[in-house]
Amino acid sequence: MLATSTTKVLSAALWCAAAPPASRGAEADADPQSAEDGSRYRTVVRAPSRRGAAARSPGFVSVIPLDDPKSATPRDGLAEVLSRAPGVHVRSLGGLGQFGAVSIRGSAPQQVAIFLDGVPVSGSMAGLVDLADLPLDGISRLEVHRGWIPIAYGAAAMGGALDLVSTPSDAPAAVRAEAGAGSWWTRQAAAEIRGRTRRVGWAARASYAGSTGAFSYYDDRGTRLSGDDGLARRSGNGYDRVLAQLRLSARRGRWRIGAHQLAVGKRAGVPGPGSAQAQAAGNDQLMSRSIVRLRHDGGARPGTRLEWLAGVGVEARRFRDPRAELGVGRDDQRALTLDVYLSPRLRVPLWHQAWLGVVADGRGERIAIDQRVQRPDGSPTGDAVRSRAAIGAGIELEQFAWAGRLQLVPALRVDGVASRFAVPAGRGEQDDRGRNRSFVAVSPRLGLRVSVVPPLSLRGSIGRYFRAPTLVELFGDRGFFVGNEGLVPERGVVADGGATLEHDGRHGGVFGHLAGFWIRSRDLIQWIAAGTVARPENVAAARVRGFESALGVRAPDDRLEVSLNYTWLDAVDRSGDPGRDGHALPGRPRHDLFARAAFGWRFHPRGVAVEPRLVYTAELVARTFLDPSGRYVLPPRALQAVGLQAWIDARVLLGLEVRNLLDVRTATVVLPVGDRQPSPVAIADFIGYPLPGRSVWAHVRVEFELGGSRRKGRRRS
Amino acid sequence: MRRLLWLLPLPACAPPSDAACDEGPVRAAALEGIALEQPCAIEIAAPTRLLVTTTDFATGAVAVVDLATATVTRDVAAATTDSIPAWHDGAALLLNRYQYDSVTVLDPDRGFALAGEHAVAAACSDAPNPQAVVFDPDGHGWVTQLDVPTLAPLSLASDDDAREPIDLRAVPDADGNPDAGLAFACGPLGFVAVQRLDPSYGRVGPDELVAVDLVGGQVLDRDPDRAGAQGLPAAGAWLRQLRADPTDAHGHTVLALSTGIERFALDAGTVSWAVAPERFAAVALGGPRQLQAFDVDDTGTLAYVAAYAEDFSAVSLWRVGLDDAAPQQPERFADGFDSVEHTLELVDQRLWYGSTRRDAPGLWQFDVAGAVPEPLGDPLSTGLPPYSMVAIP
Repeated sequence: MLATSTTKVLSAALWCAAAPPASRGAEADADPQSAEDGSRYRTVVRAPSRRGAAARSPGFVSVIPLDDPKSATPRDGLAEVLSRAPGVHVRSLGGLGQFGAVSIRGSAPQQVAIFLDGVPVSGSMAGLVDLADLPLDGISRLEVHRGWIPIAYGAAAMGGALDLVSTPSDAPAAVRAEAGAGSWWTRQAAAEIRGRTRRVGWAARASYAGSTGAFSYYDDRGTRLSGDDGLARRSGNGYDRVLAQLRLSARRGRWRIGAHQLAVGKRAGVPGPGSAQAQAAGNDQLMSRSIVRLRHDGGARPGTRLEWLAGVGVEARRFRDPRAELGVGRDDQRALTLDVYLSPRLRVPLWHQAWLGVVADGRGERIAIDQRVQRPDGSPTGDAVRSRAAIGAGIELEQFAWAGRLQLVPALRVDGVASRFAVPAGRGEQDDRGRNRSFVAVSPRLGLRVSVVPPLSLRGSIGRYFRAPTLVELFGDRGFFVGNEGLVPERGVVADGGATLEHDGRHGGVFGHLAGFWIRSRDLIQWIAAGTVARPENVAAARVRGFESALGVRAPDDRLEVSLNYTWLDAVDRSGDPGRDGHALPGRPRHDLFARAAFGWRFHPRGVAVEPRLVYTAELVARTFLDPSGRYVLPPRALQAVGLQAWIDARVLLGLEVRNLLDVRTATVVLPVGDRQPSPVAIADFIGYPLPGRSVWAHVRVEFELGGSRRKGRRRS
Repeated sequence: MRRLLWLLPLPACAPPSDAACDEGPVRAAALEGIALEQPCAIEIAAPTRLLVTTTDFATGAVAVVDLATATVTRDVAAATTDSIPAWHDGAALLLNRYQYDSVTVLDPDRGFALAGEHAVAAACSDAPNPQAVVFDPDGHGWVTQLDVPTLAPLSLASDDDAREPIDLRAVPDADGNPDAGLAFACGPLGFVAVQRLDPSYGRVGPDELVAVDLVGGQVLDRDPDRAGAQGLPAAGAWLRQLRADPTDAHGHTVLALSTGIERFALDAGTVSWAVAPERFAAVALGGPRQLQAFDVDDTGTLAYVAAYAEDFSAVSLWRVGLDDAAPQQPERFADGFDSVEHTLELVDQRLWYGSTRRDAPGLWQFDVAGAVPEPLGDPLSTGLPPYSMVAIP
């Protein structure tokens, strides 16, 4: 049910040029020595460096590749993929296609700004993006920005920003087909074709994914005594999704244009808590998003770049709860959302080794709610039309020195948000006092990077952030989420510092970082579970501090890869409220350890290249409180996975993966109450919402490149 | 928070499911000729403690308050986030409502240790949603269920209860479910407050107090000449809380909080206003569901009421004279609180009120002996914020 509420307005469409938002695209060329020749932008487009953003930002950026031809990532595996990054924690309601929310460095999910090729998908209406609504189809990599957040990512990214960067459509012409199947009738199928001429590239993709989500879990029947406990099977947890995608790119002279059209239809069950499962509740979604990026390189001064980024999103969503299994009464709510985004961005060289980036963006959102279940006792109809307009502008100066070894980036962003939330009497939600409000906020930032010795850089940043409450936070959704119209914008100061290590060469590579961070939030908006509903509150203050570390080692030819991430987090309620102050913020593990090892080799039976690879991952989280009063602490939880895949003749991939290898399904919780009797409960990220046990996923992918040069590059890979 | 406070009771009132609960013929007998012989068991006489359920809406617990010493023993037992306390024959009960659907039994003699858990299940509902429990003279319990048109049998001694549920379908309701809520017993006769809610919680008719033969296992009809079994219709909307009327020595009169305070004379089968809604409306307490909880003094002349503000942004405490007693217009004597369920109890000359107000959650005390109720210090901490409470021996 969270899925309803977290109703994201969006999803996406991407452009093909594989560029991060303009200001970062610029930063990608920040090497002052190459900056003068004007060729750096082409470098970005043609051969985007997977770790480029990480290397050139004064912040801490993790780049997670998704289009590795040798690996198979489930198309609905964004939550799983994200959890590999240091400082990132994902909470799930359980099962593929079900609600998942991301937290970076202890942030609330709403404080993580999510983008698709630079276009925001974190709607002002819902704020909270359900990761399950962001399929990985056509995505080449994820960029996780922490600490220093480029001004193009807005003012609300107190925790960080996540950018899903699409696969370039000017990649070599090819045909790809893939299919997968796994536990609980999970199935996926996709086909993609890419073509290109000298100036135009295009790609079309269609996919289907679905699952029953009917995993078995430990059901305590909502009671403490274990007499009636046992295994139950999840119901109402399935989904089906179809997706169509078209990507185009073209270039002429110094002009480039990229366009992406994405359409998604999804029908998903909303299962409710494990002890009281829903059968008939569901969430239907039909979404279209168009993104166009127009860019001009060069101009009067070498290194100048002008870019326009535009996005239009339309989404129709229906939440249905015909038996009132989830919340307050029966529900049949239709929502139609329009989201328009436009952002001009300019980057010009100023003086020696200095660039000025200017970003402006405007966004308009309109949501029309049509509540079909009427109450006959004079209650409001539930219908409402609300809108929000946001404009922002930022300026960012990048000053390099010492042959690029020093980078100083002061930036300033100003945002204005005007909400038109008032509805006529008799409409809207119960006790609806929607008001038209406006906020203006200034968010200055400063980032610094110093390359001490070539592979080692020191980085630090400090900035102020601001986020206005969303529509769902203010008004709820008549379901799981109950609104709070008294919310005020949350504000915060974020500071971090640390070092990164990045070395990649013929003999292998070493990557890693160690960073400390500190976040002080005022009026933090926090969703608090309230029995069968959740409501947002302005926690008067919260302090988050911690450190994150990552180390990765890659042997030559990728034969062995090992990565290890560890995050220590101290997220504390500083509201001053008795019973909460000093306690951990819910849902943030104190310790989060992730390890991954991959071992592969290559041989040539009968002249065919075969490259098997064995992958093992483990995630350990400990000291996670799920309540605001510091009573419900989960015991340490370790989930492991092992996978075997084979890359054959550079065109066929076979994969088999077993997740939650040890079939961990229960944990023991001891509440500091009464006799302190240990109670077995299902493993969960949210109280009462079980996570699946062991599952199996098998995958096959076949790709044929079209044209003469087709296998040369693949062979090399 | 404030919106939530008044919304929260709604989840405790789940509308009927689509599943059929209409098997078998509908039975009802005439109430006429059946006299009340035993006093109604609505409240405990001479309480010495308060049994308080607490919650932060993530977890729940139980606290016990010693009224003589004003001390709180916190976290004596675990509860759910929607547990309503009750008491019967030396046992503390927790009615775990929407989606918990169980009754927990705690043993006060063993420090309120867990003594039993009883699931409230029905074939025709995924969430029966227990609301209240009454006991017949033989000690058999009967649980009202908002989502199921029966009284479910409850045996504290065993889970193996062979008794059949008592069918409430005789009470007419458009959707077939009378939405049973509050209940009490007067010897073998039970009284169940039924609501008239449509599947989307819309109120489509007046609440009624329906008599049930707990021993015979059937609804008793006040007016057999009319179609369907008839209860005693409430004068106001939404029966929120019931109290014994101290002015009736026989214990056959009930005071009920709705949009006012109304008096059910069970012997006579009449309903009248003790405090008319207009008197509350005169002080901006006239909206539906604004009145939240109440109690009356030992003389039955003065009522203390917890009520939401019009926008449900806060809860304030009032006192008002019943019938012709002063004050005729409700007087506010404390405000700025929050509360969710029934957390107001008057014992002797002390008023206890549990507030969830974020900056000062706990149990407030007021000395009501004087002309004006006086707060007695800071609130007592109950561990988690108080959710619902009942006075116990």
